Amino acid sequence: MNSILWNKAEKTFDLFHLHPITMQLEQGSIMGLIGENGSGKTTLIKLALNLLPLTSGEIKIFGLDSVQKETEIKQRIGFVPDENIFYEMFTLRDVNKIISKLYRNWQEKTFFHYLERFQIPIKEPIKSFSMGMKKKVAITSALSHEAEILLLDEPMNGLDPVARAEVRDILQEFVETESHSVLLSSHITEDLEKISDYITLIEKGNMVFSENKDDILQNYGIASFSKMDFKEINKKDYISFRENAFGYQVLVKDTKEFLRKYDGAMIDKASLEEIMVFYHRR
Amino acid sequence: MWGLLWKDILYLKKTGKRIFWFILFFILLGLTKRELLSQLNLVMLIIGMNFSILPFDCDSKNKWEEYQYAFPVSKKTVVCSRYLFGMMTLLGCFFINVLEILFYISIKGNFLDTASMFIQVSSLCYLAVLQAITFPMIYLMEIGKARVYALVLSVLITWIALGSTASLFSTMLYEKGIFFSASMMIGSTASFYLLSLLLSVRIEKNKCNIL
Repeated sequence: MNSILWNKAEKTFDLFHLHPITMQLEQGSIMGLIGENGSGKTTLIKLALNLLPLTSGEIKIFGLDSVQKETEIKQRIGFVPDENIFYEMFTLRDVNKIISKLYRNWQEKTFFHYLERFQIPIKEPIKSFSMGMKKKVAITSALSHEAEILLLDEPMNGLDPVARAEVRDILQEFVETESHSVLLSSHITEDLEKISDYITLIEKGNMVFSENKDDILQNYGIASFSKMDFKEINKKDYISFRENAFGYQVLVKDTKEFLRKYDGAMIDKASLEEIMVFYHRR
Repeated sequence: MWGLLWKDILYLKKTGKRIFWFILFFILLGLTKRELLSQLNLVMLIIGMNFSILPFDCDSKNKWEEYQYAFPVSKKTVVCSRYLFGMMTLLGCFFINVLEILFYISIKGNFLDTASMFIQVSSLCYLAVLQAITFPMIYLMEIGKARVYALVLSVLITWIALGSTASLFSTMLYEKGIFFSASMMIGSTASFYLLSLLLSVRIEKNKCNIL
């Protein structure tokens, strides 16, 4: 069963077009959104929250229309934006007072528990916090009202490796409940490799793929060739190439199929970062 | 709604020191003038107007404006909470008004006459009208622009319309008495405020659809 279904969701701006996207976020899973800056990751999240109106298509969340049942749906969604939205003069006690009145199921204990876990001072104004601390506050808020879906826009930005590991643990704990799911965009693909069940790549407003992470990491590969051998490779058999001091490297979508065709080719596993970079060069 | 209202109240509380010095400054200034009561009325108008607009400014600076709808609040709720906050500043101004009168009585030693009382009520209504003009403009354009446009519009309305309205209410005051006139004034102001609220809700809903 899916938590969110983007059905031909399309958004047109003056200078950017998010082409119709059909994908789904499965219950009990973590989906990582990858893509370069300005590829449409944040737009996709904002569309789900109805922060931006759709140009065409529809989005269903918990089977409900994201526009018609907007406030009802948002009671069940935790959102982490890519920047701080709380007044900088407020302390976290103030934030607690405000948000507790916005959510039906606000859990004050959970809020302060996570703040303690992240070691964030509750009496200091937010303006005295570092970028990482502000991110942790946003994550804490998203986790404290019994949300069933977390939408996280660059949650790892500004976090040190220890905090990132902690956030990864928290997200994994979150999806242990079967009805919960997480959609997170991040430039730090290493984190997504560690926790995601599905990966969606968006490139210049187009969804390139939305697949199981293990399948992606298993099937995609980077084959290396000398300049001479590279000329023999059919362009249709790889996604893009890059030239380096030793010859050429190509990203292939189906390693087994490629090896069947080009017996003896040297192929290494491709990381998500490499896949993203190669797709960008296409 | 209460969460949003609480946010604005907390904000006002945090800027409480500023309010205190603001009031004190104008009271001291008023003491140097002959027309203490009108000076204090001016204080009330400036405070009421400024502090009802300040949260809009803060929302815009802190990205709250952009992301507030990520919370489970509707456009209508957001606008209503802001008008409710506006009404709270009006209520605050009413108390300042009462304090002003008591302050005036203690200094001058005599109670206010009917006309002066009516002026006090008019000042409050005028403040409500100013808010009712400014709020939809803030929803229509960004706060900086709205502030300038609203100021110009308010001055124009005061200059053109209020003169005739004032004379109308003065005649009414003379003929029908203070309670009737004050009720009429409060009633028409409340209707205007309500219309302004409906207009703001409409603007906000349309604005979100064309983003």
